[in-house]
Amino acid sequence: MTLQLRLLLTISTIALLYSCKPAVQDLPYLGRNKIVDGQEVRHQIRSFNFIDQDSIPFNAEVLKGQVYLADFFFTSCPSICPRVMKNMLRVQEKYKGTPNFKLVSFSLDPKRDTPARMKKYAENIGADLSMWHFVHGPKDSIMTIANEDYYVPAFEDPDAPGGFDHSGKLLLIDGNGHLRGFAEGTEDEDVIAFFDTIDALLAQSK
Amino acid sequence: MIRFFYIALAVISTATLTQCNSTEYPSGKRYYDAYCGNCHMGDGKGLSKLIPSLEKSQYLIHQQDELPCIIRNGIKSTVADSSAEVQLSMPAHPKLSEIEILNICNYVNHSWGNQQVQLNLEDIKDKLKLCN
Repeated sequence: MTLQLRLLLTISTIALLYSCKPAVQDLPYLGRNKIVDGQEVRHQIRSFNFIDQDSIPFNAEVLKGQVYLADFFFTSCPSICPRVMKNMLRVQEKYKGTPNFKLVSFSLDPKRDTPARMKKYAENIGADLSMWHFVHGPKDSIMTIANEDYYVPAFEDPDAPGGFDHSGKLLLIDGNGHLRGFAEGTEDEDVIAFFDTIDALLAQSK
Repeated sequence: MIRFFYIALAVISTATLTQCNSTEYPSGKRYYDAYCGNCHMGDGKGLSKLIPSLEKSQYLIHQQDELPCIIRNGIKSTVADSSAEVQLSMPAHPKLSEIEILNICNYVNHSWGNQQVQLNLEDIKDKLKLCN
């Protein structure tokens, strides 16, 4: 074997190995862009004014500059919510103490899910309320932001278990309110794989 | 050489069989996964204080007579708390047949460290007659 050939083989092997290594993800901006005054504007979560489990105002100001993972649930949900919450707890354990990172759970059933009831629920599942907010707001507003801003199909359905049909997606939002990724909250493997996406966004947000 | 071959064959077949029969109650597991697993989870561990764990469960030992009724009719209980009155409940599954309830009971009773006697269909029918 000639020296050139050996060299070529070594270099191509190294190149191959490097190509296998996943590159740092350049996360996309998800959602449909809008045209405002002839300019294309990125999809953004609209500003809202709700309260949390302690009846403290929960609005765009609280989330400004925070990377957060959102989900939609209700405390009496007998179908997918416990699985999703188990995975939210998994995320809580992994990112405990991470600055500028929050978990946000919006209740689809504000009539029954009073702040006090949500607080009890949060304590029962072991939520760390220093990083996790349980959000209470007018039903129509919550439904609207779920469907139009977070792209989570959610609607009232008397035939659905618990009275609401909704998806168990987890939505990753950056510090400017842009949707940057999502995972199936009911699928353990999907959520564990999603840690890479969260890490990438946190790294970019520093 | 041939002896080694047969030993290897025996080891492989035993390993395969063990994997196939990961539960003695495959039908029960199927119904459990469909009707119970979303809350009590596939590993029976539930969710913190919200949904009780079924692993080595003392509750399960004490509620053997009520188990079929609990699966069919659910549980409603109200817990008074200083800040709120919270209703903790387990949803009812009125459409489950006696056979399906039997399969779930036997699966749960023999999983995650639980060791109860195997129930038969007559047991389930008798216990269901006593539902409130």
